[in-house]
Amino acid sequence: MTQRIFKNAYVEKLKTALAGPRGLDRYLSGDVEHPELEMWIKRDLKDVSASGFTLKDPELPGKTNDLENAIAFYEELKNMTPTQATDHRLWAYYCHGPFMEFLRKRRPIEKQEEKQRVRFVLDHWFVENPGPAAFKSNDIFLFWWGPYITYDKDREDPFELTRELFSMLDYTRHLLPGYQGRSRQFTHAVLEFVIENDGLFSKNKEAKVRFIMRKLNFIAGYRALATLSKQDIKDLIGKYRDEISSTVDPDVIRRAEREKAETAG
Amino acid sequence: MKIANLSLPYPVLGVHDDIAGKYEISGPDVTTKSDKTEISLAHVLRNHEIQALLESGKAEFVTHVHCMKSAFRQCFRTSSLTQTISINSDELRDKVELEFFIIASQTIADYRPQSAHDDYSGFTFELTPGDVLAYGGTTNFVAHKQWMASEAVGSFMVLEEGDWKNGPMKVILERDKIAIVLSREDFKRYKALSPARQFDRIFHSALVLPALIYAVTQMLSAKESYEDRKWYQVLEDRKTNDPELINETWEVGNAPVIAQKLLSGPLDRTLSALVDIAGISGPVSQAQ
Repeated sequence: MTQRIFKNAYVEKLKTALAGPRGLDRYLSGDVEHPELEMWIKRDLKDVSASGFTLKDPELPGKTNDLENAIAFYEELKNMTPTQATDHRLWAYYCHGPFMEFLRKRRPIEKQEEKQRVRFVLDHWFVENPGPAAFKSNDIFLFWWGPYITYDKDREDPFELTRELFSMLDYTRHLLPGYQGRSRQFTHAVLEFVIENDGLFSKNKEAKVRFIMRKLNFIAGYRALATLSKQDIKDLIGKYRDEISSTVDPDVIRRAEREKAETAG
Repeated sequence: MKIANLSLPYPVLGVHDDIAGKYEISGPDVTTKSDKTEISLAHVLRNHEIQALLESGKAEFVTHVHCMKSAFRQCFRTSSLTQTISINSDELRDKVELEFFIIASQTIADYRPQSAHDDYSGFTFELTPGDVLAYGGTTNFVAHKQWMASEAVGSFMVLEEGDWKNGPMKVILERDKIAIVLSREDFKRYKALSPARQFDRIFHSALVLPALIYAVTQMLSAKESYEDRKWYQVLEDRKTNDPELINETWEVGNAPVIAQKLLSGPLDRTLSALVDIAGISGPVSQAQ
């Protein structure tokens, strides 16, 4: 139980160094050497490196292994508290130490335009403001918080909702970081509804979930949704079953219209 | 929900002049222990019709607790006028927002409050569970943590070396801690002097005080830009809870006084230090 974390001033130093002429070298070469004097030892946190824990590299093309990594990471650090998990110094250490190599593969800097690279590193290697907004950019941060929010010990598979969460980018980009999504009951209700109605979501799932979110956000303007039980929220979503069913991906509509116009032309 | 500025499709007590009467909160008193954070408050309602709905079990008081940093968002319901909420302290960090409502706890098919504004006369509304009947406003507190010993300057301020050789110091507020950044030459001299703790009392006036006056000015004039910063929340916490500062006028023009109170009289300490260093004995006025 002796996890290292960076000192606050060192995190700032790393960020400032990015503006220098060789600021990206560390990220391009994978340098994980940091002065011991720039770190604190946290005796109340499990050292993630001590057990030899590693994250699975993304397999290109298209297989990120995010779900497997998130479950494994959360299992490894299950005892971390939410307040400990909002310490930006810890996440900066993880991203610049034990998980630097993983991040370099998950977020290849070389593929970014040169002028975007500093911003890219700031977004993906640091957690500027620990909170839901950072779920969108810092993978390691999301690997703990995603399972933390969706873990349900009362389910046969406690990670069933986590599996749904990582099945689609819309959940981690819109559901979790959004205001409504910060209510555990709300998030669980939406994910559960989709799982329990898999036939309804067999096509155009992204567009249908976006429709649900739009609808619920509208209703939340006059109704305290966070006061409702998970079942109440699922029942509420169920009232829009017909509209959900007829929701089509706008890209599909645009494509069909284009094809129709081309045929007519 | 932030409904204060919305116009809802039915009358809501506490929103504009929709319904005559009052719904407000007495408190809250927040007690933070290492394991639990307790929020105690009283719901004060002055409207007979909504009171009757509460008594018949058709409505409930709700305290909505939201901590953005720790992604904590939960509603606590009660039918009692007093409410004590207990939350695991590990689940809260920094700013915690509280919002108060009275909601329909079951379907109310024929809601037609007689105390509603004339604009609503003749209309009947059907309310469903969760619909808001009254809005009691918002408040917030800062969840205390071990690392946030808000009395200590180091909890919200840090001194750093800049990348310029010499020249004026700068103050950066766009971070969790207020950063006082000195030129390389000045920082070198500061580092040489700081081990002799006798100068600490002078640094408070020379470096910390002007930076804090600037921070307080920005805190009061550009709240939206800084309210998520830890330094802002520490100062907000002192504003709300420090007996020395509760009755102070928190206006930009009074920032120098506020900053001095936040530092517990730095000028006095600086002058005392100078008197010590100068080796002046007895009352200073006589020495002059």
